[in-house]
Amino acid sequence: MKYSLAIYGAPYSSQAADTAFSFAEAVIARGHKIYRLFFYLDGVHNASNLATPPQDENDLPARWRELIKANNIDAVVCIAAGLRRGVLDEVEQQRYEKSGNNLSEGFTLSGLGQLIDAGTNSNQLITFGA
Amino acid sequence: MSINKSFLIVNRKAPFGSAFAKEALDVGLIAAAFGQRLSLLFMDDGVYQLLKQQDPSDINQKNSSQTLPMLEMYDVKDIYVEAESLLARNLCADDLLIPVEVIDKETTSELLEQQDILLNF
Repeated sequence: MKYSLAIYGAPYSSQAADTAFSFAEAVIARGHKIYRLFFYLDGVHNASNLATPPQDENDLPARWRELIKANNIDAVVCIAAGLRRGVLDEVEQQRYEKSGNNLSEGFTLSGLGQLIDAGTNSNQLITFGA
Repeated sequence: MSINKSFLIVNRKAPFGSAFAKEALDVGLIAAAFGQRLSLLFMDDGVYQLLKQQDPSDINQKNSSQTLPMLEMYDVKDIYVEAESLLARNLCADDLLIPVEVIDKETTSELLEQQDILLNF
């Protein structure tokens, strides 16, 4: 089965992103494929490489990076939702002349069409955090 | 994107107080622009998204409801509102900004079952 996950919850604000992460791990452990992770609304904060939780807390943004890299997962952050909330890559940093960028390695900024494409090309599209 | 699936966007939250209504409408417009079979359902507090004469300027928000008529331009005609949600809020179809089909709870369940993809907001 091909699964896609739409993640709308920010880490440390709701359980949605943790649940999505556990689900993604389970999908892979059962031998299924993840077609795409799509981060939208406050979910874009999962893709920030500036999150700095205390050492005894789950570093969810770091765990996403590791999972995405280890399994070569397509991880897309909605560009409009990301820009609004301060999640930028180097290209957008330069375009808007901002002081820094923070999009984690392995993630890409792209449009909402990627969410529709995920629905079209996956067996299941599951929403976390609505 | 050769496979054509049916999408239903389920709107359940009030128009202001969170970004869900605004960003859900963005998804609807993109899905329509991509030529997908798209329906919209408004239920629970989501019915407030359709109210006429919204003016959120005092809370520094854009009036997203002005974008709703664009759905018709994109040929999105299947817009449903759950009757029980309207009734519980003392609203009727005349209070709404765009033409909709009012359906009861049972028909809402059937609508949900018919879809390939549900996008909840």
